Amino acid sequence: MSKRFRLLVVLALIGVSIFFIYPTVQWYFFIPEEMKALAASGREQVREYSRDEARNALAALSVLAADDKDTVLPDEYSFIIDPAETNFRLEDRVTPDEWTVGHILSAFRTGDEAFAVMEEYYADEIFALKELKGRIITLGLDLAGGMSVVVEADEESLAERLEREPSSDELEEAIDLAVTILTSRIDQFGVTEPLIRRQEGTNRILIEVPGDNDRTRIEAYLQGKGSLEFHIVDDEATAALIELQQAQPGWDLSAFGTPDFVPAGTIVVSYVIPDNYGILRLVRYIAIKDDVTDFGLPGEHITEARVGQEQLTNQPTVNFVLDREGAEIFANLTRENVGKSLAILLDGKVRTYASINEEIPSGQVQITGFNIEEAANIATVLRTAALPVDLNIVNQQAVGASLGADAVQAGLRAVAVGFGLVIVFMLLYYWGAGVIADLALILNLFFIVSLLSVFNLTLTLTSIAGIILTVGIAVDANVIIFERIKEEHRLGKSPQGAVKAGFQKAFWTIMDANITTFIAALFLSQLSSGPIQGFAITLAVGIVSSMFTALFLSRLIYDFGTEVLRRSRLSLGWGAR
Amino acid sequence: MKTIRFSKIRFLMLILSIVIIGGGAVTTIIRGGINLGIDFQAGLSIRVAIDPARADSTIESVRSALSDVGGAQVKTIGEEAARQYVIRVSDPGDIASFSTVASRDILDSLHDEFGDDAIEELENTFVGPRFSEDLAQNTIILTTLALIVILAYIWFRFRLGYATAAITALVHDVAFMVAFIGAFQIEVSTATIAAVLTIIGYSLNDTIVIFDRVRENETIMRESGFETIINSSISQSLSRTLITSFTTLLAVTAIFVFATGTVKLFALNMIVGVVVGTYSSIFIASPVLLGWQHAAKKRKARKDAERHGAPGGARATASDKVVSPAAETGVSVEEKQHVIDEISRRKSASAGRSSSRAKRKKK
Repeated sequence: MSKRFRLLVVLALIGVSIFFIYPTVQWYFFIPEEMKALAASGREQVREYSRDEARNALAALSVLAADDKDTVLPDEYSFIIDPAETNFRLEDRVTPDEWTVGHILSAFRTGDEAFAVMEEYYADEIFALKELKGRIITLGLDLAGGMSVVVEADEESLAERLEREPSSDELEEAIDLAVTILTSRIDQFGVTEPLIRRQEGTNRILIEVPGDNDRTRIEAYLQGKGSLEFHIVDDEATAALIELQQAQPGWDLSAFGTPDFVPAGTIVVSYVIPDNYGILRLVRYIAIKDDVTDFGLPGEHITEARVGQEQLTNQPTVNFVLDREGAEIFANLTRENVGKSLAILLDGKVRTYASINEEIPSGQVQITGFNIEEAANIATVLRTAALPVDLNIVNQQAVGASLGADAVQAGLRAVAVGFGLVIVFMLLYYWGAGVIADLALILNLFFIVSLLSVFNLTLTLTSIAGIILTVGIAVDANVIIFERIKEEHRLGKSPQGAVKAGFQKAFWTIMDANITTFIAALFLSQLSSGPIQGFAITLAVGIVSSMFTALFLSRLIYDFGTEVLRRSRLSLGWGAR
Repeated sequence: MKTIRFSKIRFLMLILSIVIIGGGAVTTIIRGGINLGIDFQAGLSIRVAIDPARADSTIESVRSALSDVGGAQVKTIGEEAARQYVIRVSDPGDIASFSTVASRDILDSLHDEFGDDAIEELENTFVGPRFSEDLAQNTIILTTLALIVILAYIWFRFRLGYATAAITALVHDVAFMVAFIGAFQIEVSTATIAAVLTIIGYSLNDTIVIFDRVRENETIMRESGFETIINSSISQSLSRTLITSFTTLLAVTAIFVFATGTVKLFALNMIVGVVVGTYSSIFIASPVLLGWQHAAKKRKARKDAERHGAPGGARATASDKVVSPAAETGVSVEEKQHVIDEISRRKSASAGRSSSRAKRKKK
């Protein structure tokens, strides 16, 4: 390989590394804290934020327009010019050279439309940040604070519920269902974006909740039974609410409070449907009668639920069966409320509501009016009022944010000091060659960090330890080479010859020595424990990177020195001639 | 370069190792076995900070506050003045949602004693019985598998004798570390496993650099005895061995100084491991390789002797000394040549790249 080619390879790799590190740098140094917090939050929070922002923006524009229609559009709202322009074209209007507030507002037929466009923009902004967050090195729970819990499905509890031993398929299904339910409870939990993942091949589910959260609340959330209730809908108040939401785009219960027209005994709740990600999305607010004993039915009376099909229309239906007591309550409830709607609430949110056509006396209930997917969802909801299987906590770790911050401090200091000491030592011991080793070491650290970014790895205390250890070991390859060059030089070889022989003879020594360490790191990474995995991966990455820097980069610098600069003296520090 | 005769004190060092490891093992047993940490012993561990401004936030008062909580152990962590404590209770396995119940009990007791605002829960770790068993099992399986793969790799790249010697050194290192951890009652966590496995990798790295030199010298120094070859190989790579160990120690010591908790212990284990790993590649791995080589020669010589139909015993001892320049007497040129040819034939794979002329001059 020619030197020029090798130089290109090194430069290309450095370029690629910068490309991969850039998002991490951007994230930690250029993005304001509150935006980071938003990007880490759940969809519910994002929605709230973007609606708030859109509402404020729309209000600000309206105020400006009322003042003077020809006010030039402020820069912060320039994102709306594009959609406005599209609308202008659709209506065959001439697009203005300079956009004024009046132009913008006239581009949208209703306030709702403008609001929707703005909301989408603000939401996209956060989703872009979320996407960026997927490409950076994130801090592990032990550094950022947070909680990680492993729960295991209790087979016995499932057996009790089924009144027989569950088959392996049933167990599988129950666990998958538990994951779904836990995931859909995300919204309720709010604040942060938990990770919920089934551990392959086991009955275990891993839940990670970053940030400073109340531990007891999360535990309750994990083991909570969930509540399912039927409530009669207050149709009048609901109609008024819907009108209000149309008139005031972005109306929000938490921001505006319960409206005055809602009578006592009626509460406003959100009607949600799961989106493509299985995450609940708000459709609208509706009003229901609060009292579950007089105007509803608790969900524990459901004994069975499945998806069916209406024979005449082929419409999907949800069929469920109630126990005797439930059937009685339900019969009364439906008789007294024919023509009204009945809402099914899971964990305090309306998942579906349908009108009652007639009294249902038998306890066999059929609800229609949705597509097959929704029907399946509702059946699931009905079946899983509680978790299908009890979950026992088998492992849990909660780290307070203050402890995490201390750990970050300690870790950074350890990296800095360890790194600094090694660099100084190499300079003192090897003089000129020490500069090469140090350069390789710095690039090494750089490559490791960029590789960690590529894999979006979490930085934990142990992976910091892995990095520091790698720093110590990384110079080894260079040391082997330098010592060999010294030796060859002592034997009377020319600098070029000594360098050549040194690298050649050191090559397999370095390979053999590193491959064995690599094997150890590889096996270590299979241990299904987060912290050790982090350490092992860092170590493995470090080994690969240090081999590259020593065998490829150091050689290049050496050749550059001896051949291009025609240096005839080797600077190898102690013990060299 | 001066050749240091490391092999001279090999039996002394072997005895030293056995004494230290044995002593550590005995101490461990006397002190009640290995101090298994939370990762391997089902239970709950809570780290709390109590407002240091309070005069009564001493470990004694924490202990007395927790006297109602069955089997709670309290330890100070970090500086005494920081008033940080780790409280541990083990999980008897028969209480439902043990982690939740026990956490509540402990925190309630502390709140009662010190007031609600004075307590900060810094960390809460729970490991269930099933989880700890699985971890221990996985660790053993993975370590064994890793060792087998490493053994196979060295066998493939070198020879069985090298592999055996390297693994012997590894077993020595692990035994030494376990003895150290047990004798000083250092808490064993998953980080300890990471440390031990890293040391396995590190010590191998060290050993292989020396072995690589031995393999190279075997062809270059064909005339010398294996003992001389080993001694010069160790001497030639000594500066590298020491420098690398030193830089690694620098880095690991930095962790030890700045970190707390399990990572600090990890660094401590690593410091011990690096020292032992360096020592073992010189004083354990190399002598074992030497012993293996001697034994192999003896075996080979006996076989040759049988094939040549000559009286067995005497010939075997004689050919054992063939490669030792110190004792040349009573050995025919043919025998000597035969053994040398045999060695060089086996080593020809790695012979290509040597500059033997230069080497010989140096020697």
